[in-house]
This record gives sequence, C-alpha cells and structure tokens, in this order.
Amino acid sequence: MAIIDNRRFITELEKTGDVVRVGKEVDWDCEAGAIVRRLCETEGPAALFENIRDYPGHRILGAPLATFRRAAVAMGLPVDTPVREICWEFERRLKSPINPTIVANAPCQENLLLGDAVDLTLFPAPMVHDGDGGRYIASWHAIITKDPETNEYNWGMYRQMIHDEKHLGGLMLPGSGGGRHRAKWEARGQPMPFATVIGADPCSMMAACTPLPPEIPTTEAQLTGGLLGQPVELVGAKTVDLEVPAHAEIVIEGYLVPDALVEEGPFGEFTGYRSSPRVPRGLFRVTAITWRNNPILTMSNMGIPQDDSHVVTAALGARAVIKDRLERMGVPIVDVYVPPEGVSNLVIVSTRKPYEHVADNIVYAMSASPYLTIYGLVTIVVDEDVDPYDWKQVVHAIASKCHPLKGVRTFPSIGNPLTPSLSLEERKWGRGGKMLLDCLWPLDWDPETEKPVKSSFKAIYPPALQEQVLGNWQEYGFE
Amino acid sequence: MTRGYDTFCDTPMDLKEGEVTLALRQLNPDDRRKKYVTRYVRAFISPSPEAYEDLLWLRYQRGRLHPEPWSVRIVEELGTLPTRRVAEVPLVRT
Repeated sequence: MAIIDNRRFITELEKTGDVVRVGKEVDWDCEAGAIVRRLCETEGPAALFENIRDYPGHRILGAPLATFRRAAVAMGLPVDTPVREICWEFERRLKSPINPTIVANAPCQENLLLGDAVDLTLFPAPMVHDGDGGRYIASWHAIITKDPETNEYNWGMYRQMIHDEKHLGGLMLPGSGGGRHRAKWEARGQPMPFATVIGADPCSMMAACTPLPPEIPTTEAQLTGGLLGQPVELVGAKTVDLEVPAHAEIVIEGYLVPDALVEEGPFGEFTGYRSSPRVPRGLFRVTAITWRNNPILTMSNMGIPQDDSHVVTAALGARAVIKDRLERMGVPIVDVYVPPEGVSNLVIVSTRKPYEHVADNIVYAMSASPYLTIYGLVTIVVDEDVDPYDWKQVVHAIASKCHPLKGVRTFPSIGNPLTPSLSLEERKWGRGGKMLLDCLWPLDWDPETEKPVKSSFKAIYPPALQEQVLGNWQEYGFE
Repeated sequence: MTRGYDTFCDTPMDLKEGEVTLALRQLNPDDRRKKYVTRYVRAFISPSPEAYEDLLWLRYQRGRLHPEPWSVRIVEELGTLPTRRVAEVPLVRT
C-alpha cells in the first residue's frame, strides 16, 4: 500500500513502533526542537506532538525520516531492510519515474487564507534551535518553482523562516534548482511564484531533497511517483500558477520579491553547526495559505547526526545521483556510499581502478557538477575489496592504505556557506576545496613482490581451509 | 511591563548609541504567537540597560547571546522590512 500522505505514514510507523504520540503540552519555542534533537542523537522514534502551546488543533511531526527504518517504511519496504538494500532500491526507483496526475480537489485545500487575512504566525512554526534567526516554518518541506523559459518544475528543500505575518526569508543557493529559477526570474525583473509544501507524503519529501542534475531527466514529481510506485496527485495552487502535492498538510503560496533582500538566519544546519552568518537573503511575500483540517507541520531538527537530511539527502538521494554521474562518465566504480555521519560532506567510493589517478577523476567528476558541489568535501576512494557501507573497513583502509603524503590530495573548488571548516570570508565568497583520501594500491606495485597481503580470514587462507573452518565452526564450540 | 527585543550584530561595537533605525525581534508580545516577529523601527538605543524602558538583547551572527542587554525606546514603527537591493550586497554565494 503506497503511503500517499503523512497521516498514513504515521499509521504505518505506529505499527513498527517508530513514532511516539506526545499528548503532554509542548512549547513550540525550543522545547519541541530540544526533544527532537535528542531523538535524532539517540536514533529514537519520530515524535508526533499533539498538544502544542498556543496552537490548539495543530500538530507537529518531528524527525519523520531521521532513521533508515522510517525511510524503509516510507518506501513500503520491510522496516528492518539493510541500509545498502534501501540505497539500492532508491537508486532503482530513481530510474523508474512515474508521471504525476492532476486532481481538481485536494485535502491540502480544505482551509484557505487569502490576501490581508494571511498570517504565518497562526501556524506552530517551531523555534528549532535556541538562537536561530527566526521560527523556521519550513525545515522539512519542498519549495516548488517553475522555470520561466521552459516551464520545468523544481521541488527543492531550502530553509525558510518567518520574518512577519506575511513574509518569509530563505536560503536558496545559486547552484540549486530553485536558485537557477530565481536567477532567471530576477533577470526578467519579475517576481518568482513559489509554493512551500509542508507535510506532503514522505516520498515527495525524499524527492525534494534529492539533488537532481539535468543529466537525470526526471522531475521531483516523477521521482515521487517512482518511489511511491504510483503517480503522485497534484492540484493547482490557489494564487500562483503552480501545482502542489494534493495530500500535503500545509501549502504557503506567494512570490519571491525581485531585487529585495532581508537578513536571514542563522540556523543550525545539517553540518552539525550553525555556521553561515545572518546576511541578506531572498524575501518571499505570501499571498495565500491552504491547509488540511488539524494540520501536521513537519519539522527536521538539523544538527549532529543523525537527522532526516543525513539519511535522505545524503545516504539515499545524493548517493544515487553521485553513483549515476560517475557511471555516466565511465568511471569504473563498484559502489558509492554517503554515510549519515559524514553530513553530506563525505563520500566513499569503491572502484576497480584500471588506470592511474582514477581517484582524482572521481573528485573531478563530482566537482564538475554544480548540483553536487556540497558533496565530497572529503572523498575516500577504496579498492573493490573494501565495503563502503562498512565504516570499520573504510577506517582500516584509510589507516593502512592511504599514503600519508601522496595519498592525501587537495583541490580548490566552489565553497559552501554552510561548511563549518571554512573561514567567514571563505563562506561569504564561496571559496572552498576538496580533499581526496586515495586508499588504492598503486598500479605499478608488483602484486607478488610489492603489494601487501591482506591479513583477513577471506584473503590470507586457502579457500579449502576456510570452508573446513566454517564447516566445523559449531563443532569447535562457537556460535 | 518591560518589553524585550533582540537584534543581530557582528559585534556590539557596530551599534551606534542614540537614534537609529534597526530591525528588532519582539520577545514578549501580548500575543505569544507573535514572538520573534521582526519589526523595523526608529528607536533610541543605549548600552546602559537602564537608559530606556525596554530591553534590547544582542545576538552575534551565529546566534550566540551577548550577556549584557542594552535598552531601547521605540519611537516609530516603520511598517516595512529593512530590504536591501541585490547590488548593495557584496556576497556572491549566500
């Protein structure tokens, strides 16, 4: 049964014990955030807050997809599906897009605020972290925009905070899909229509935070269909020429004001730090808000692993896109993993290495895509006998196979304002770099005389002896 | 009742004592749902917490709270947000 909305998702999570309903009154002002942060750091269940101070009738779902278990449920897989199999299934579905369907009436439009009646403070937007620049009503959501030249849609997950009753501020980086649309609208001097979709079905959210580059001819709506196994239903927005997921909980419509910036941020981000400064960023004027009865606002509390972005954006979305890119470029890879602990900054690639500098090629291939600039700040390239999903094997490869001088290579590149290790000036101007940890044996080492012999059960004993030992294992007295 | 506000700055040294225009967030409005809403105002501010009737807390750019509050007297609500034009902002990446 496809999970077409958040309510069905919550029902499914209850069956597996992966959500807790919180009936005690909880304050939207940091308390809900603190609870969800602790749940993230302990890989606890999602939290459905049903009694929010100042906001009777409203609910908040915290950390909806912050574990692989919940990602598996969202995709209709068994809850205990191994991580690598979830990753492979996401990749398979990425390549099986399904077109959306348009409906005339939708649950997301059961209620409507228009024009002067618009008031963002009527919704329990959480103060996610103490000291954030505002109440981030959009921390796990999709901002839908349309290319003014091609009419192509983009769904992207770019944070938005409340400035006042009718205005939002947000970070929309130039290299992102939304940022590219914004540049085209601004060049025309026209306001960019947007729709911020909060609490759509979990697969829509997965699609929104997957960095789809142009070489993958799939829209986020088609990817949602692929993930769901059926078309996602869309409905026309009320005040802007955009279509939005019909089963979303809350939809905020409006326009990005051209040539107007207002100070936005800071915000505790997926890197685990509040690193980007409060600076002038885009101003979104709201023209309408629609919502379901008793709406459920979704909240991701980004920070130290592991939160929703570490699981979905990094391990599922970015991993699949990076692997696709490397395969398209003919790089002889075996597999790719973007572990949650690496907060999108760390990518592990295993390769068969048929030529020198294949590890450098991997870094170049990722860096060349403006859609992947934030990934692979650190790239670890390992031989095919190292499992990139097994952190113990990867650490062992770094410690034993990465030459301390020749194996560590650095490359100048576009920087990201959210990268904590960059200086304030570097963050402001977008100056950054990449580091490669090349954990491959040199090709010119003679396999018989120079290449070290791996001292593992599988590698150092004859197969016949391995079979004998395994066959007698219980007889020896071991479990 | 003393009202509380906060504003963001690189350092308190950047703030000018006396009459200024600045963006504030209201911290204890009558309607609690309006907490953290931005108001752009003309006001008098002072590093002395007793100089004016309301408190003005300062936050650094990454959200850390400056331990000593200033004080503020709002004399006019400007009724807009403090916008800047794209060409006025020398940041290319944010």
